[in-house]
Amino acid sequence: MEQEILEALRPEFPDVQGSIALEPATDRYNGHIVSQGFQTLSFVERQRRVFDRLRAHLGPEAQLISMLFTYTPAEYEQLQAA
Amino acid sequence: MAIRLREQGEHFAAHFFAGIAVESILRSLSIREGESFDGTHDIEHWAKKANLLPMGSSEKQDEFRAKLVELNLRWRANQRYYTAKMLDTWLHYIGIDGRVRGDRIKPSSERMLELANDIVSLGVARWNKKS
Repeated sequence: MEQEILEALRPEFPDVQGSIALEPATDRYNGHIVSQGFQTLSFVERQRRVFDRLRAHLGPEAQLISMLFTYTPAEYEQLQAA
Repeated sequence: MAIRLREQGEHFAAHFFAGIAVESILRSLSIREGESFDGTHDIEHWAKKANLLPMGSSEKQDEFRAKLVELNLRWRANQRYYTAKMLDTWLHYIGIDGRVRGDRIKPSSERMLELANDIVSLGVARWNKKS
C-alpha cells in the first residue's frame, strides 16, 4: 500500500518520499510524506491535493488511509532535529 | 487551562498547554485495555493511533488532517524546556507564520488555541460516544 500511495502521488509531487504503515489497532494506514511541492501550498491545500489524487487513483481503498502528515523537506528536517 | 493562560496574557504557556490538551485527547482515544504505558509525547504518533477524523465530507476530513499537521509543526513536547526566545526561534525556523514581524509567540498561541479547540472538541465527542 505504501508504494501504491507514493506512486499515485508522483505525477503531482515527483520527489515525494515517505513512510506509511498499517496501524493494527485501527486497521488504517497512516504515515508522513515529504515533498518540495508542498512549499507553496497551505496545510489544507496539501491535504486536498494529496487526498484528491488518492481518491481518484485508489477509489474506495483511499478510505483505508487515515492520517498523512504532509511536510516540506525543510519542515521535516526541523522536526527530525527537534 | 490554555484559554485561561491566554486571558492572563501568558501566551507562551498557553501555547504549550494547548498542545498538551491535544496530546491528552489523542492519547485517551488511543489507549487500549491491557496495553503497557507508552510515554511518547508525539502528536503524529498519537494521531495515527487515535484515527480521529470527522464524519461526513472528504473536505471536512482534509481540513481536520491539515489542523493536526499544522499543530504538530507548531508544537513539540520538548517546548516545556524552552524559553520564550527558543519558541520564537522555532517558529521562525519552521517558517509557519512568514508574514509575522516581531513577536511570533502571541499569534502562534492564538492559532494553537483555535486548532486545539477544534481537535479536542471532536475528540471529546468521540470519547462521549465511546463511553
